[in-house]
Amino acid sequence: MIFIFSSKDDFTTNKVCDWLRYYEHQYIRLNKETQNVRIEEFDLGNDLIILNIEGYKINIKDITAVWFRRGGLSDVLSEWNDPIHIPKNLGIIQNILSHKIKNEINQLALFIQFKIENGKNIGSYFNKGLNKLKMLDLAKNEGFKIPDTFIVSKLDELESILSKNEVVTKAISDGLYEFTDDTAYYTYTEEINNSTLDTFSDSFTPSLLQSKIQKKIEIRSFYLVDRFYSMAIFSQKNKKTSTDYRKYDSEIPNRMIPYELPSNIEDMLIRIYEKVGLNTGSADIIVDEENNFYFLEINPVGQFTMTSTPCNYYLEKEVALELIRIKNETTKGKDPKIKKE
Amino acid sequence: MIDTKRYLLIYTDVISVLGAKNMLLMDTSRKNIYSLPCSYFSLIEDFRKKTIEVIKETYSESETTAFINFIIENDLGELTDSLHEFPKISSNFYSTEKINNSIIEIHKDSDINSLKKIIQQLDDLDCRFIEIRSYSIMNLALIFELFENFKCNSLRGITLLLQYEDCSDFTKKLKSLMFKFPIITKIYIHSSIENKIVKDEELFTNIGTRIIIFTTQKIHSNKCCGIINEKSLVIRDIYGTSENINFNSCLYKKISIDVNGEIKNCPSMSKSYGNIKSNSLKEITANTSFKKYWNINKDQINICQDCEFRYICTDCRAYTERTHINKQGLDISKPLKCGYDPYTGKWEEWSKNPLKAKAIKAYENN
Repeated sequence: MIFIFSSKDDFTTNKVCDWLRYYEHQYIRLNKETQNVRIEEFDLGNDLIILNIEGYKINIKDITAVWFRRGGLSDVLSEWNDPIHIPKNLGIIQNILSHKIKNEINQLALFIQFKIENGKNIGSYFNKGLNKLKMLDLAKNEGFKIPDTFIVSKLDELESILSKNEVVTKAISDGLYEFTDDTAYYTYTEEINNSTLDTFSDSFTPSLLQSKIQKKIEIRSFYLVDRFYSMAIFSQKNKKTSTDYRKYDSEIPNRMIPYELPSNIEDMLIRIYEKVGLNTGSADIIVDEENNFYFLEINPVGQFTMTSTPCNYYLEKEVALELIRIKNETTKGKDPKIKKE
Repeated sequence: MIDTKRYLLIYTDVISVLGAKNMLLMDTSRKNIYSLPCSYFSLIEDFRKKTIEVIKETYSESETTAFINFIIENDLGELTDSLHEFPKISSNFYSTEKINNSIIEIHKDSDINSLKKIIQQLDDLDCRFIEIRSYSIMNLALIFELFENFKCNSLRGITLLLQYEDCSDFTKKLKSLMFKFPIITKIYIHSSIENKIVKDEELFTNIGTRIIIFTTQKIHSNKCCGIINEKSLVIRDIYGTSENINFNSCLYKKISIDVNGEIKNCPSMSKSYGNIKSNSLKEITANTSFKKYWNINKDQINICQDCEFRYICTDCRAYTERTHINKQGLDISKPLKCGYDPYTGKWEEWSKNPLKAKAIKAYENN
């Protein structure tokens, strides 16, 4: 059976699931919000690991294709292990024990995650937090141009860089992406200039600065098992979006149309994907006026609906078909049915 | 000065459609349309392949420059060094739902349990949009009751079409209906004393804006449907445009239940495929004969196939000029209530056209 790691209400996952139902393939979708996940049986010698997900018993040997989009077992199994099992009033050791037990469960979750994915996966839990700096370094070594990249933590360093470069800043790790009932918080790539300087104190958290590229177009390229589905974004005409195209101008949306990367650029990207062991992702690239291709980053759990919709690519259908292909390859046609307890 | 060694990239989401006299440029992203004489069609085709320099060998300097300015001023394109990296956008269309939309006719004596059953069945068929119509005054309490404890998986929106009621708290009641059931995204009120749009703060929900539209237009029966005029033409995004290119823009994946419970493609069509009392919607949608009009796109319809508006038109198979039947016995005549003549490029009042008199009479006698 097909197994999907995701989160509740994720639009892209809903669409992939629509296609799986359309093609009449059973799947299990484990959302990171799911409360009721237990290990039913674990006997490594006999190669027997059975999960109980909201009453459904899943022998992980029956999982024949996996799509990792979000979440993962370590998110849901930690819910299962309630720290109330630790005796109270243990003083200083209380926190240490609690931390220790979390770690125990996490190691177990990581192992089962690994067994579930086991080479029959699209996307991987183990690649969800790609190191941006490592990716930039890899891209540079493969022949890409990258923007000048600095880490600063002192105002005078920032001032000195600003005197020579136009720069933007963004998160070194993942940006903020949080929703409360009435507010959405997310961080964008933002321009830093002399007028924003007085908002900084003399020293601050080490922060990533990159020189601003005078872009002709921005490219977002979704990669899925040897194929690229690319999109050109004409964001440079629009002041609001010229630093980060995700900052939509809803009145005059950016023009986004299908694009074909030059084959040498695709080859470089394939080598990068291979080096980090990814079979899917979304690459952000900028093309400047001189037709130089600048690598920005790779999002390993690809937000591909935003590429699919304007380009009419039906990527959710492609992902579903790829899962079915993997499943057929793993089972050679025979697939056990899901049983409810 | 334009560097003539360059190309004019007309963005690939801007689609050109050739008509008999005029052509249409459809900006599917910005949802704008531009009517041009059909002679521009080949110029646009050339711009999709050739440099400005080469184009100027065929077309006049002033014509070429004027057209480039028109494209750039309307943000339909820009100058570029090469075109090959911008492939044509696909107009393929795929969808997973068995039924996409539905029209349900109701009146004041409609059976609430039967209606609940219909909506549940539609949700099970992955239906996304439902329009519930009443041509006469409804008891709003019945609508409240209809959606009480209502749960859906597939439905994304319900539209109500109701008759205006002359009571002081009518608008207030409608607002509370929308507030209580956010699945209701739009309410149209016909036969109103005034034209107005209610779109205030009380109608903002966390899943989008809700809107109430009052119109003085009287909609007394399903015979009012099918009018095609400049206002009814709606440009859709590339997904919707692709649907219109490939399938019937009105009937594809539509199912309707008329006021008597008859299951039809559209309430205005006479053919019934069963009745809700004895048939399930699922069994009707499995019937291939029910789906026969789904694949009749505008390219197959007489006269419409020469019209530049064919992919932004709602079409109508209920009221046609009744002049052409295809090999499968399907009516492929032009919609009766369309006043556009693609051969002259002119709009006129459809009901005054003497050539339509015979067909109009046929429907009046029904």
